[in-house]
Amino acid sequence: MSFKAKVAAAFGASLLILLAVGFLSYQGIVAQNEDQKWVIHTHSVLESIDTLQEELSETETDQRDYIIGGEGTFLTAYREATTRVSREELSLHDLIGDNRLQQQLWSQLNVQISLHLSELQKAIDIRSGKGLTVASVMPPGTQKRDEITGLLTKMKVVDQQLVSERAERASASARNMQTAIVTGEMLAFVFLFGAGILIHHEMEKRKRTEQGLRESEERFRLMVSEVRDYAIIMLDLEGYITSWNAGAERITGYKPDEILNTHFSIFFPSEDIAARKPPSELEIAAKRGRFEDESWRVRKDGTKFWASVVITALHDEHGQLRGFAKVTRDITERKKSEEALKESESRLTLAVDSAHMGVWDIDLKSGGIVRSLRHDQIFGYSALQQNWTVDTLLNHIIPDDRDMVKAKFTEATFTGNFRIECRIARPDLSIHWIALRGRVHRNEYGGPVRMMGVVVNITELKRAQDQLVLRSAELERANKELEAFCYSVSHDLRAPLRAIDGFAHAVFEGYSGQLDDIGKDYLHRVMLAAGRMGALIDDLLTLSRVSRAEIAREEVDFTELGQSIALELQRTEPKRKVEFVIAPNLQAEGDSRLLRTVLENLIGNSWKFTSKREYALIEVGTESIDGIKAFFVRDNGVGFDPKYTNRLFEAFQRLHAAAEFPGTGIGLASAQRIIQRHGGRIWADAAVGKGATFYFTLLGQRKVVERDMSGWNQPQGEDLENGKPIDLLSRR
Amino acid sequence: MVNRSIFLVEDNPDDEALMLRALAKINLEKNVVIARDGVEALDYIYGRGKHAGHNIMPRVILLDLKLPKLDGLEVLRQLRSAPETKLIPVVLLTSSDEQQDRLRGYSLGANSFVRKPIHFTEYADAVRMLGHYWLLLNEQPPSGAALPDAVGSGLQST
Repeated sequence: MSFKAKVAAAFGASLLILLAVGFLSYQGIVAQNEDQKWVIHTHSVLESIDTLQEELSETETDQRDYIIGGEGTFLTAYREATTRVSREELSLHDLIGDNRLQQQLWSQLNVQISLHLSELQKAIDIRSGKGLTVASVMPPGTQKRDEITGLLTKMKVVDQQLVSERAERASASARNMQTAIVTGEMLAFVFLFGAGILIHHEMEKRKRTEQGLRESEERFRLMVSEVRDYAIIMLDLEGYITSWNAGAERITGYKPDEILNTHFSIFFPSEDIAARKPPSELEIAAKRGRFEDESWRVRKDGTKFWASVVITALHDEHGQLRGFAKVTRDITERKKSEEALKESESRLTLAVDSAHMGVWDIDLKSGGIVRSLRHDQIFGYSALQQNWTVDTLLNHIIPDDRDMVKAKFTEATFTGNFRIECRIARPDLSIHWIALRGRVHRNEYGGPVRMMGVVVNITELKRAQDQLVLRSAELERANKELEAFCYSVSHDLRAPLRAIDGFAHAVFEGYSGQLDDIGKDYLHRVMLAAGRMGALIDDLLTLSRVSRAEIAREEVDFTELGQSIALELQRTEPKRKVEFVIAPNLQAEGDSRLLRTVLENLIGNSWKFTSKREYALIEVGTESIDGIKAFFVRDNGVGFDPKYTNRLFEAFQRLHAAAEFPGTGIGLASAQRIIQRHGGRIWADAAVGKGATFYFTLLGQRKVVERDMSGWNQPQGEDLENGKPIDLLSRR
Repeated sequence: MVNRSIFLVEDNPDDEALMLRALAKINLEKNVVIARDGVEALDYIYGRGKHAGHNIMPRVILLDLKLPKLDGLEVLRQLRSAPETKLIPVVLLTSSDEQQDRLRGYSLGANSFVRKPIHFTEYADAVRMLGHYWLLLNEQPPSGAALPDAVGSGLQST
């Protein structure tokens, strides 16, 4: 039985009881009234009987008085009393109309009174007619009188009995009623008390439930408002914000008072608003109960964040849509890292694709291999093959390489790294070189589980490598030949020159008497030619050596070098007057011997090309060219046409007739080679008749390349290339 | 007997003639003994083969680098490894100025390294200076290779 039914039953019962009690009370009161009426009635009857008796007595008295006195007044009083008796008799009759016994008694009484009164009358009539004596002898009507008194007393008794009976009945019913009322009241009280207890319990219970509910609601509210990772907000049906939490403030930057009652489209980028996204999100949420999305949203400061949004429709108990709960999370970081991952994946894919790499993944337990299409293509198939295992792989590897691969494979499960190059036979029986690179992945106990890696077809690379090895060998040989050649040039080509000059000299000394002037001139020319040839050979050897020599790195003092070269030059031609201006502290780093050769060539050239000047000036110093320190050697000599600048540094190129300015045309080529090997640059600035300036830089902090490779990298015009010694000579 | 002999090892007859001519200019052409390859040079020094019985050490050996049979550097190496010739002055003559040759020559214990000039005037000058220096100016090492081993080995290594 439910609480409601219990309470209703209790109240119903007590109500019924109270109704019954009320009814009983009413009845009691009615009965009491009735009884009272009867009592009053009885009293009236008794009063009426008493009055009747008194009036009878009055009649008797008056009659006697008349009889005695004979006076009229007594007669009148007697007559009045008789009238009153009749009247009283009638009223008594009225009063006892309800009681049969009394009516019988009254009827007897009436007769008796009539008789009595007629006796009295008789006496009166006698008096009036016969006088007193007769009348006085008249027997009094005592019998009749007693009769009447007896009747009246009887009537009195009857009524008094009635009254006492009624009173007794009334008191009994009053007692019963009292009992009933008390019992009923008590019952009603019990029921009401029970109902009260029930209600109290129920109220206590409800209070507790309500308290709990309130507390949990408070906790919930606190949770929502204090959560900082999630923006949890409520929207009304139109999308206006009705609640705001700390998370929402943190994520969007709005304070509650700034944002409440604002439409939630404020968080959308303008293009989304134009696309009517906010209302359509609410429509979807209303229709499906829920809307989920990840997209860009806008903060208060205008910056965007990548939001994960869930909108939930809220309904009341009648299923009526009341609004929306919107939970938003800022997942920009996650988005970023996802994008970075995607990007790195796509970069990896790009790398793997553009490197023509096949990808493979071996399950070391089953031996099964998952591969990319490229992998199988490398093995000669146009499409991915079914069921590829380690055995399939081994079967493709040519028998000669198979054991090596197996051994390396086993080794890899220990070392973790797998790197091999081997040959495979494709289905069309062609042999290809492949390179496999892999890494072992282990489980938490360190046991190898998978091996993943890449495969590349390196057949072309191998071919190129083979060619490179061959080419290197050729190059080495060529270099050796060149060295041998240079060695013999320096010895064997010079010896004949010495003989030519020496014997020409001998002829000149021993036989000049037999020669005319022309003969002597010819002999002179022979000796000069031999000298030039010697110089040429020396320069060529220098150039060749410059290309081959190791470059030392040491401190070089160009000031000192320049001064010593200047001194030497002046010693060879002490008659010339040349002014040298050499800047102090010209420090550099490089190979001092080779750099001396450069400076010798440049200063030597200046010395040579200023030979026709009365006042010759040669300067050595530095200038900053494009922010780089450039050394220069400047003269006021004959200069040259700048259009030949490019050819200046080529071997054997001469811009002046040998007769005018002797030279081999190799000096500047050597200088350029040396500067280049120092990582620098050399160039010239000149005009005909206005002198020349040669600049060079020594940015050569560049690491000096190996000797044989330096030969490869020489630019144009380097005919003394290590590999091409023959060309050089054939050009002569 | 005062030994003023020069021992010239030279295979090129032209160079030989020019050397003799240059020496003649300073009147030393009579003091020259000539060998034309490395083997003959060593035979002469050690008194072997056709030079059997010869036992006079020259004052200076002018040794060309490029020689048939045994080249100049090998001859030098053997001279320096024999006790009796360990200290004998050796002047290396060469047409080239190859650094390597110079380095190896000195390493093997050459006393001097001279590049033969192309111009005879300069060549004659060089020979004149060599002759004057080694035959007149320079004091000979004590004869009989009487140096203690320690000093000898020290010399050898420089």
